[in-house]
Amino acid sequence: MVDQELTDIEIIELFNSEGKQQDAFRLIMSRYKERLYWHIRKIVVTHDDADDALQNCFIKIWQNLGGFQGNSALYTWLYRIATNEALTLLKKKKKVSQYSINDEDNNHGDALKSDPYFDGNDLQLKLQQAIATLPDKQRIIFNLKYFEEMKYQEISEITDTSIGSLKASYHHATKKIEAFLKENIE
Amino acid sequence: MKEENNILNSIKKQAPSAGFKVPDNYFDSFEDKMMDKIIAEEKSTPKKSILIMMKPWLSLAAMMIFIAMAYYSIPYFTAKNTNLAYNTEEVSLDFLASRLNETDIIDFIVEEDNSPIFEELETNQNILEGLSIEDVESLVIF
Repeated sequence: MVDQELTDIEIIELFNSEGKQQDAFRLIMSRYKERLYWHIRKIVVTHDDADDALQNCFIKIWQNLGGFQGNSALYTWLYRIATNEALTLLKKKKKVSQYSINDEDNNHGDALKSDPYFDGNDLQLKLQQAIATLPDKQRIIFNLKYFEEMKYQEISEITDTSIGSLKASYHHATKKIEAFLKENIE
Repeated sequence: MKEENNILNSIKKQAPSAGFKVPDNYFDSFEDKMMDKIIAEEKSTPKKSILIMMKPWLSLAAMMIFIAMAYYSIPYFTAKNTNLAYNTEEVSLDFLASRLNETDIIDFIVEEDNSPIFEELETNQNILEGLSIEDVESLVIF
């Protein structure tokens, strides 16, 4: 097996060298699968959806890694793909739920309650319900800043949004969540 | 505001996964599962890519066939139109012939072809009528 201590750039070079593609890709998956999974999971909420989106995400990475220019860090590029895949999955689900009799399909809060892979306490459930009330993009920005503790510059590269807009968006998201928690706790 | 921020901070400290969990050993087998899927996708992709690669050539071939068909069909349609005109004329003549009897046809030919001759004969006859025998003899001598 190839050395685990390779840098991202070295892994990409390995990926582009003949006969080493699969080894290099296994290293990328090993290094990023959990971070990307949790990022996707917080957007799509349920484990099944997160698993689908993560698999689609790695297929896209496999198909496009050879053309990665290195203009940004590898992980921001990976997060960008993961974000797009999560949003694509949500859009598909919204389309399906338009024809569904069950309105709960579209409600993240209710989806959480029925998800066997959520064991958060009441406070965590309330927080997720509050996050679920945010628009998609605001939710992504909040997750990246609050949970992943990313810098605005990194979030800007992932979401293709100016730092000023990100700051405003995160501020609004925080206020909405705080208001929701204030209303629903106790 | 400060109190609410503390709530957010305290929730985050409790669990970075925010209460989510995954099935047992989900991440352990992930790479193998993913590589199998990618290899399977790769195997099914060439069929698509051959079609995609052939698409411009197929379009070009279809266009050339269309141009060739158009080129060869133009004389066919032109010839067909000429034959149609010819046939129409033929049918008209046949129709007229069936309607006319022999006398009508003779009268038509005489009337059409001999009218200038009749006129010439008539003119010559008028001239002769105005001349005496002496005039005629003098004309013959000189």
